[in-house]
Amino acid sequence: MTALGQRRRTADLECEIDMVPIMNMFLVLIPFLLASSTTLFLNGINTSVPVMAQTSEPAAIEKKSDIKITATVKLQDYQLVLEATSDELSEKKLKEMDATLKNNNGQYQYSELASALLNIKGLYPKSDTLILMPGERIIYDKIVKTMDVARAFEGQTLFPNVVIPGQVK
Amino acid sequence: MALGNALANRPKADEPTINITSMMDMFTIILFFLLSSYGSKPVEFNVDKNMDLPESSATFDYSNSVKLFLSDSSIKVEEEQVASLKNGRVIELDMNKPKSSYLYLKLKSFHDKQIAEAKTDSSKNNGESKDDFHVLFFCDRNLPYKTMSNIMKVAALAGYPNFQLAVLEKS
Repeated sequence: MTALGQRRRTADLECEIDMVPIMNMFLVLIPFLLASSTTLFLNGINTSVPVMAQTSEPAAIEKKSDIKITATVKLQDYQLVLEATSDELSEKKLKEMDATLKNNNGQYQYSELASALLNIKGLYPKSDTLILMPGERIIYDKIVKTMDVARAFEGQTLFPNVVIPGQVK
Repeated sequence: MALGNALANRPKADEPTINITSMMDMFTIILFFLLSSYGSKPVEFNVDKNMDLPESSATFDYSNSVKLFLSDSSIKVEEEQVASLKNGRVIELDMNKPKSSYLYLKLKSFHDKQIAEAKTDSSKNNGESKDDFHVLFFCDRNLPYKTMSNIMKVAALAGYPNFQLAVLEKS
C-alpha cells in the first residue's frame, strides 16, 4: 500500500458536522426571540392644539425672506375644503389656491387634495403648516388618513406640521 | 439461556440516525423570521380589547410619555379609568367647567410631577432640562372628532398641548 493510496482513502471518508450544539443554540434563541418579538408596530404622529399665549410682550418680527402659506383643510361630511391663508399675499392670489373637493362615491378625494397641496408647496416651498379642521362627526380614522396625505404624498414632504384646532386659553 | 445466547449473538443493527437537516432548515427560517420582528424596545400597553387603532404611513417613533386611552366606553390615563363614555359623550366631563373633572386633575398631577422631575434633572445637568411634555394618545379609530376634541382640550388645559397620536404601522 503506497502512501498515496492511504491518503486517498482518508479523503473519501464522509465528514459529519456535529449539529447538536447548533441545535442547542437554536433552541435557546428561538424562545428568547419569541418572547421579545413585536406583534404590533406602533408609531406616533406629532400634533398639537394651539395655545393662546398669556404674555403681553410683542411677538418677535420674523424676517420675511420667503412667503409661507398656511393651508387649512376642512373635513366635512361630503367634501374636503382647502383654503390658503397668509399675511403676505393678496386675497385674490390666495383664492386661486383654494379648492373644494366633493366626495366621489362616498370617499374623500385624497389624491386631488394631495395635488392641490403639492401645487401650494411648489409655489411656496417654505410652507410647512396645515390646520386640519374636522367636522364634529368625522371619525378619527379619516382624520389620520388626511394627516397622512397632508404630511407627505408619494415620497414628497408637503406640510409636516399638522395642527388640530381647538384653541385653549 | 439458549434464547439469551441467540440474542447476544444476533448481529447488531446499525444505530438509527435522525436526519436533522429538515429540522435545521425549519429552525433557520423561524430564526430569521423572529429576528426580523424583534422589537428593540418592546413595551406592553394595556389597550382595551375593543379598541381599534387606525393605520398610518407615519414613521415617527413614539416616545414614552403619559398615555391617554380613549375607547368607545372609557377614558384611561395610564392604567386608571378617569371617565366613562356613553354614545360618544363623556359622562363625567362638563366642558363649561373642565378644570373640575377628574381627567383634568389626573393629567395635571402627572404634569406637575414631570415638571418637578425636570427641575431636579436640570439642577443635575447644569440647567439643561426637558420641557417637551406630551401625551401619547390612543384613540379608537371609529370615535368622532367631537369626543376627541373635548379630551384634547382638557389635556391642553392641564399642560399638554402637544400630542403624539398612536397609530399602527400600515401592513
